[in-house]
Amino acid sequence: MSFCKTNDTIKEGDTVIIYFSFNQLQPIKVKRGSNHHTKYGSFKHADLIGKKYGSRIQCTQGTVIVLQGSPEMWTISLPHRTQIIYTPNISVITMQLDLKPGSIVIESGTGSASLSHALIRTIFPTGHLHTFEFHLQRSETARKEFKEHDVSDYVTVYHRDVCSDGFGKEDLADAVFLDLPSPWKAIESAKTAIKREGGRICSFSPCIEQVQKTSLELARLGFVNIFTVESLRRVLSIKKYDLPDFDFNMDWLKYKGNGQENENQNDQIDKNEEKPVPKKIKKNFNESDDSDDEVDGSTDATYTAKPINIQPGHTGFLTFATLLHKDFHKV
Amino acid sequence: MIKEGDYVIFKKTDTMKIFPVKLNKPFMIDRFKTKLDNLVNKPFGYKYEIKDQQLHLVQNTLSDDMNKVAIFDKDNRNLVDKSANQKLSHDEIEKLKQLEDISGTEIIDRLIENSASFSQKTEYSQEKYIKKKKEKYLAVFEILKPTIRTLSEYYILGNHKRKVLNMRMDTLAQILTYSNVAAYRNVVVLESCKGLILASVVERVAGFGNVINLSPNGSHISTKEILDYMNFPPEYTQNLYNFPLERSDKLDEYIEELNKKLAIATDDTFRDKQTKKLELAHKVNEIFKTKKVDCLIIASKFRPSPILEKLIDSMAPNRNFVIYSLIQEPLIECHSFLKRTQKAIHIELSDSWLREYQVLPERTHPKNNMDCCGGYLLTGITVTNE
Repeated sequence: MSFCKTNDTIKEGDTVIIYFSFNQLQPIKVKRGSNHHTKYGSFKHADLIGKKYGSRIQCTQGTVIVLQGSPEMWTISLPHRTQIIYTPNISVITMQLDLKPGSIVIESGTGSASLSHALIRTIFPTGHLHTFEFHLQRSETARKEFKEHDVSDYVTVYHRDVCSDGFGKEDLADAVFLDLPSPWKAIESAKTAIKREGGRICSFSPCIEQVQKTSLELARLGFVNIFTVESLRRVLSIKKYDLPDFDFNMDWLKYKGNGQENENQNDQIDKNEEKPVPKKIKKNFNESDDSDDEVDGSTDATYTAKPINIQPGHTGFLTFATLLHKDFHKV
Repeated sequence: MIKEGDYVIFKKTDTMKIFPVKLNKPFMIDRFKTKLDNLVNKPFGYKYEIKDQQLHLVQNTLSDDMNKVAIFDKDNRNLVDKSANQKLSHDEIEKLKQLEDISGTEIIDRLIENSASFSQKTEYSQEKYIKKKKEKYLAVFEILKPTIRTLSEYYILGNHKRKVLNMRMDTLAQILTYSNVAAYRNVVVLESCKGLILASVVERVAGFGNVINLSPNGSHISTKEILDYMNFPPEYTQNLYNFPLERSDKLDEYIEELNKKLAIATDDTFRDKQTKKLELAHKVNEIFKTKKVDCLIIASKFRPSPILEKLIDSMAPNRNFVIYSLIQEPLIECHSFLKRTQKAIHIELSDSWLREYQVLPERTHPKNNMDCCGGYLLTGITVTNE
């Protein structure tokens, strides 16, 4: 199984994603003879082999879904070795670097290889990713993962500090991506690594001070169209829209509010016969928990969407620039 | 390198125009007449000025302001905004513009000469003034290559947003990743964005898979525009199939109908046409009936849920779909259908947010305006209930 292709059935040795819910996913390597324990009980790895991807798997106390490893699923389930880049930024990076099958891309640092997997998926089968990481163990782990995910034909992992030693590449890349603490130190070498006909560069930095230094260095080295954006994706949860009408004829004195105890409820209802007493108002979408969509499938209900309360408000700034043709002399 | 017949984008700060390069044929760009002959065999990305109906390469000055640190040695306490600041009247300026031998730079010099307030401005605002006037009077354009990136900017900047359903760059970028489009995929696209999505899918598949473009009557007219601009190599489009959407749910009947027509065909051209249609129908049928659709993208002007209901069963399990809409409600409808039928998991409704920054020494801040209408996406993964 390869992370950059689509596959139908599960084979031994595949890295699969066990899906419980939005935020609960677990990558496992299928190995005959092993068992996997989940909160819904356990299942045998052997039971997965030969099953279709996207099937429900019966555990001892419930079902889970088994999904194929893909760049997007890997991004939300991978073991973090560093801060990672998430799919909304990956999307913008891929588009702004003009990536497609056949592109040669240089990336530093490899980090947890969240972006790397997505880049490989977009540039394979004719392109190649050169990924640089100065942390020895991280680079080795990434190399091992690429092999396990059957994408190593499309990627070369280097253990190297590009800020001090450069990329050591010349006229090779269509695009360079930098995710470094001091990206401006690697731009000169990145320029050398870009193809003679020019190319694109992107730098990801969480802080604006880094962006300022990077932009200055890009301008100094003759890059053009330097621009910086922030891109976020906001997830909305879908809620049933069911607000009660206020009844002006109710005896609101007798209202038993949410969570309030009304000790003499029965007595009071007996005494007050003229006016109806309001019932406890159901919780509505304003108060209810965000974690899950409230859809019971009934077609006559009215649904609305509301952003989930706490979501990323800042990830990093993306600075892009173009390097024009190296041999074309200005007038 | 630019070749004859290629499309090129002409960009000024807030306008973009697209033209094919034809030899010895003058064009009107804004109010300037020019031939594009000088572009042939030149690389993309450089700036050119229109002079004497020809394009002349200009020194790239784009990044110059990056090296200037703002000096706040003056302030605007004595500046009064009034039209008398400019001694040249509107008519005089118009007359200047009509002069044959005057360049844009000279007009700007005259404007500065006659501006009472220019010398009182700070260096930074003087620069801003000149920059603004340059935009207006100089015929300087950046020549860009049409790519998905530059074209999506072209439709937004060029005020053609409605042509592409307000598709913003980051939303399009997300459609492409969340649908898992890449080489060796069978991708089904239904779009009303002049081919913006179709062209980006064709580029990401690069001839290694199949792309089925569903449209009313199988017409490619509405989606051809951007494919033409992209000027793909032939191997990219050899596996692009334009198929009628209204036939996609009754493929058997359609094939039968075509067979019947073919059996009674006497005319050769008619027979060729029907044979081609039949081949196309068989190809689509093979992918649909064997549930071999890997990626489904819907971004059309039609209500998406009835279309989704018809198309989702052609998808293999564990495959990705993305539906785009400018408003939430049609996607909520799709969401209810998917939840009810349990055909998908990891269904997410989302919107996207994109903010650009001005990055200059001592003057870094978010840009004053932003495009707040990036639309909504419904993404999900198909599952099997077997």
